[in-house]
Amino acid sequence: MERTLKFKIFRYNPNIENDKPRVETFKINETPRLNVFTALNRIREEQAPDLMFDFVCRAGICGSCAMMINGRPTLGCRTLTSDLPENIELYPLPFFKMLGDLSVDTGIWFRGISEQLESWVHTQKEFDPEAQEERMDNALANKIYESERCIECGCCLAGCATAQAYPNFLGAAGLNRIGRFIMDPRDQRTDEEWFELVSTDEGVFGCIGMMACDDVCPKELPLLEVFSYIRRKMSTVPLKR
Amino acid sequence: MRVITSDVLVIGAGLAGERAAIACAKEEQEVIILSLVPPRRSHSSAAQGGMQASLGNSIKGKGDNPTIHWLDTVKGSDWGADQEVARIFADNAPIAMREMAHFGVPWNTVEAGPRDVYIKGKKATIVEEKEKEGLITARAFGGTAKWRTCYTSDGTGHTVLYTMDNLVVQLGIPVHDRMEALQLIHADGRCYGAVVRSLRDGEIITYLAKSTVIATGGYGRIYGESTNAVINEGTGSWLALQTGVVPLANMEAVQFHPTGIVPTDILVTEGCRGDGGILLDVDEYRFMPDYEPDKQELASRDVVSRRMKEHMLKGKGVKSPYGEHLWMDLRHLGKEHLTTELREVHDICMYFIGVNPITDLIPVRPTQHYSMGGIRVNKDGHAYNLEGLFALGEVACWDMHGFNRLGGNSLAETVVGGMIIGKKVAEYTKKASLKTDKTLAEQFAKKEQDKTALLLNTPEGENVYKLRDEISAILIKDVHIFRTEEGLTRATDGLLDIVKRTKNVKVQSSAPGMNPELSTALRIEGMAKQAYLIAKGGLDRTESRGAHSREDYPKRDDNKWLNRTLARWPDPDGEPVFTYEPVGLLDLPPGYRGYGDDLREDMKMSIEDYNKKIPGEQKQHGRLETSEPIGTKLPKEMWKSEVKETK
Amino acid sequence: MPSLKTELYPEAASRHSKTSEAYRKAKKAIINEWISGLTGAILAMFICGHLILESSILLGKDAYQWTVHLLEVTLPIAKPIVILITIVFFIHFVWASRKIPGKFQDRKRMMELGKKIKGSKKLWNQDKKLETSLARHFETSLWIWQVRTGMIVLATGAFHLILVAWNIFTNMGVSGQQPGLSADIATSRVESGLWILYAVLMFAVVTHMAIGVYRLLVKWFADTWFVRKYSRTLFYFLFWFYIVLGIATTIGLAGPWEGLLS
Ligand SMILES: Cc1cc2nc3c(=O)[nH]c(=O)nc-3n(C[C@H](O)[C@H](O)[C@H](O)COP(=O)(O)OP(=O)(O)OC[C@H]3O[C@@H](n4cnc5c(N)ncnc54)[C@H](O)[C@@H]3O)c2cc1C
Ligand code: HEM
Ligand code: HEM
Ligand code: SF4
Ligand code: F3S
Ligand code: FES
Repeated sequence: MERTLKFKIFRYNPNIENDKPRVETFKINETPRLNVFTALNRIREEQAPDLMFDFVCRAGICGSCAMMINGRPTLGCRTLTSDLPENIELYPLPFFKMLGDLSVDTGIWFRGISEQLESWVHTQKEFDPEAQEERMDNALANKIYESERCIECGCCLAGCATAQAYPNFLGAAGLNRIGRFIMDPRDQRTDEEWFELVSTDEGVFGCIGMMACDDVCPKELPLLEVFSYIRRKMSTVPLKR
Repeated sequence: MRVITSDVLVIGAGLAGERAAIACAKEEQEVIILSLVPPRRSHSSAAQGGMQASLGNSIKGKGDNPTIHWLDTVKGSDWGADQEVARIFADNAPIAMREMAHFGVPWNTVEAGPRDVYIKGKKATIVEEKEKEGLITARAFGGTAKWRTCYTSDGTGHTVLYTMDNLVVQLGIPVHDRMEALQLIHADGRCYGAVVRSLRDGEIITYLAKSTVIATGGYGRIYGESTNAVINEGTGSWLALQTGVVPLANMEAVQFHPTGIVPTDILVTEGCRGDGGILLDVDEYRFMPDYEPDKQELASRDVVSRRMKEHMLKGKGVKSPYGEHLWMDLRHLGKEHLTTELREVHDICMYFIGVNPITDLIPVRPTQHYSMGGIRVNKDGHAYNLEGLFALGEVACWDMHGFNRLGGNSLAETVVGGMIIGKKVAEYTKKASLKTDKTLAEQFAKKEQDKTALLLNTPEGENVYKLRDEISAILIKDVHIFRTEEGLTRATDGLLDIVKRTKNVKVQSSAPGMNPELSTALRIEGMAKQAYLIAKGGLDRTESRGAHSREDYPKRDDNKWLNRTLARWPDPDGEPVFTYEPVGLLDLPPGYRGYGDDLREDMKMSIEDYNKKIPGEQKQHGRLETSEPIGTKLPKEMWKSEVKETK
Repeated sequence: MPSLKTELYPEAASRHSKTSEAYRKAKKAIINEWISGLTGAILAMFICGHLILESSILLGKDAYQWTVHLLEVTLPIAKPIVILITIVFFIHFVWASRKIPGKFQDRKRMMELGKKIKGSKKLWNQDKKLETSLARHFETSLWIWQVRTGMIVLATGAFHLILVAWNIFTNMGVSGQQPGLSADIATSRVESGLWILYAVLMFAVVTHMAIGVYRLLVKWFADTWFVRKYSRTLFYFLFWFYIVLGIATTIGLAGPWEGLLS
């Protein structure tokens, strides 16, 4: 039984002066295994040549295509229309700067976060091409990888009510990033440095536990677990003499 | 018009571009990186399986060394590689892996003690050594003598790219994302930068630099059905081709990966087979051991893809509404393994085709995956014929891959290449001076502006998406795994026609800003022309080598075709010019690869004579001087001891 | 490699001392979090006990009277507890409210999101076992309800505290009567129409407490064995247990029947 899908898509082009945000409706026939990636491309090629959206890997690994699909922030390429009703509403992610229609500027935000958090391994050691690498327990490597898997799609921020109210909030992705480096023994930052970075109202204590980040993260990162790890770890810092 | 200057302009923020940029920044050069997308979205992040380096920490990699890695690489290339470059690569790969560990990649490491694995379809137990515990481990990949592929679960490209980008942030290297380089600014054999279009607001900007580096990745999307990202439309190689002087090399060498899933063409990594996955046919019969008794599923990619196609042609394929396919079986690896070390694969199958690899078979077929060919550069990464232009990564033909690259070698190439070529770029830049020739820049920018205006104002013309689909339809039909004269002739004729039609494209929407349709329209000529080079190169090369497989010429012809195709397009409205250069110094003499068919025509010339003519001939084709003479990095016949040992 | 970015700042060396501005700010944040969390936890424990004791009315006025006697006379802890809880109550109110966006605009944006994510057909939770059929994201709605109920508790709870404190510390202007509570005072008060207020307070405080405990556990212990799923189960349990008990108690206090179980 073939359905006719009705896509209601948010339209707005900031490059056009006085352009008004609006919702436009496009109809397409559903084909087997149709996903939002294919559907949007069909709409662009057949009906709305100026429709803006972002896809890169179309395989759920690059994080470009996050959007609000029927109210839920998620990856467009990975969403099958067969899981959705006939009416499909597409909005760009809130929180991020809008570039046009469904396209938002997640890249700049994440670069800013990386700079702010100094998201790299801080070490005084010089790399020695002759020397063996530092050993690391495989279990620990896997644990770091769990956090490292974040694809910076921004769903967690778009779904977090706190982030909507406090634009400086680091958000789940930012906190997760710090967690990844706290876990990493190669990073020589001290507890005090972590403390300053994360134990703030923009940091982990800005999170009031809405848990939406955990529910929408398409990579199913253990976000809440990372947060409570950080919370408890930070709690001991001011107690130390 | 805005003009932005820097010492080094790196086009492309994938692994290759970022690593080179870092090398330059460390030498205190001012670097700007351009990218179509935020750097971490580059397609390097999609690489799953891992990267090869002969660290030899895992017990199954014990005794590995760069020479064995080099041997595998040269054989894998079907002797099409530049053996010196392959040597540079193999020697530096272990250093690059350790360096990435130092920078923060959480490599999977050796866990001492026994562990169950699957080798050649059979369960086996291996015991990892205590003394290696905690060092970078490795998994098996195709066409290798040892387990050599370093990995982080099945998100290797992701972690390495993120770590690399962290470093870029640390060094404060600006990345101008959502920027598309449209054309190189060049005159009299010297490159001065690029004309760039902003994908945020459509502004045309010129970037001037002492040296320009192209690292824009593959062109797989020209094929339509490809494992590549949708941004991989060959815009980087098009930059070089447009100059008319820089040649694209070996464009006919296109890799088809055995396991793209059906119907979405998303890749599931070679690591699946490396970890013990097997291929089955319609009767759920394991057919690979019949064709390749020794390597089985782990022969090189060109061989496995061909065998799969061959088997399907025998009627053993599985019919489906999306065409014929075969099965990959991972069920025996177990839930634990599939949800940890092959987790992405598991997720991709679940989300995109609704197949649970723990309990079901995965539908797979060979799918376009990688381009061995690309912008021809010398061993320093310096492009032929154009000073100040460098290229590396998948877009380049540095040429360690020849006619077939081994899985895990390209991700490693990006990092090793970035390390080495980046240094050369910095050296060159330090010596170079920048004549900021603004009029030249304006002249080139004007060309692009005119082109845009033309596309928007053509009253009647071709639909760009239709042209794109026609190109890929031709390539899929006639320039695929098996090629024939008939098919290739049909393809070249069709493509030449499309090339002409790309001059008359009409863009429907004139919306300011990103204007996605206009972006595609600006790329379409490059896509058509490169498609033509692939087909024509294939038509002219009357032999079968690596991934280039001619049904009508099944032999590898070392007498006539031990060379590299070079294609330039000097007259934009005319036809391209093809020439051929020797592949590079031969140290390992051409021979049997150890898998696949052994159909060969031997070289009549002696190796000494072949080697002697190389410097002169390559120079004639435009190779610029290298900082060290040819051959300095290729130790003579070191492989001999290894070959004896492995026998 | 040129200097790390941190080294671009001459004051980098002193940046991380315990007297630095950043450190002090961070310390303030963590202390704030502890205060609101701890006071919340204390109040939650108090309410859990309080409502159980209150339910002794279900066993009859004598049982209730016995409890009152126990707390006021046998172990005279009633007075100190009243003082303590009143203080904690107000501290919690002040500290916890700092998380409510001050600007109306921000509150509006939060609610907007709530609305935006409404009507999501695909369920929010990925773990099937946690799936809910609510249209909105469940835990986000819970937080909004926590704020709302908190406000209600502030008004009604404060009123209630004043009433009981008046009972416990004074003879309420009735000469000759001992200060202190009794079953009669309690029931007569509730009977006489205040039951509406108590019902509201009870609903609000139970909801607020159950959500608060859930969130507190997830915030601090999600990475231990007590994973979110368990916290969530506990939330449902606390909520329903105390709602049922509370309704029964309210009826008992307002009592058309006296001593439901006796
Ligand atoms: C699905 C998949 C899996 C793979 N798995 C493996 C593996 O397991 N092991 C392995 O060794 N190899 C693997 N490969 C191959 C390997 O990932 C790629 O060859 C390699 O990552 C290419 O890196 P790159 O830096 O050259 O290009 P990319 O990472 O593709 O980066 C290209 C960059 O150039 C930019 N760019 C492109 N055009 C322009 C332009 N005109 N202007 C400005 N910027 C531009 C892009 O924005 C991007 O930043 C895989 C490839 C695919 C497709
Ligand atoms: C320590 C101080 C407190 C004392 C001594 C106390 C005492 C009492 C008493 C005697 C009653 C019976 C009704 C009445 O006599 O009015 C009662 C009911 C109630 N109290 Fe308190 N209380 C205290 C604090 C609180 C607090 C801080 C809250 C919550 C904010 C609270 C919530 C309730 C509720 C909800 C009921 C009604 C129970 C029901 O109907 O199920 N009390 N309390
Ligand atoms: C004075 C009236 C009250 C108000 C205005 C109020 C308000 C709040 C608010 C806004 C929060 C959320 C804070 C955050 O998420 O960090 C909160 C949390 C909490 N409240 Fe209250 N509350 C009140 C009374 C109570 C009472 C009587 C209890 C005991 C049952 C209680 C128990 C909790 C708990 C356990 C938390 C969780 C703390 C945390 O998440 O850190 N509150 N309260
Ligand atoms: S944490 Fe999850 S939801 Fe957030 S950006 Fe990363 S992958 Fe996306
Ligand atoms: S949704 Fe937001 S409030 Fe915290 S738990 Fe997640 S970051
Ligand atoms: S396009 Fe890469 S995640 Fe969807």
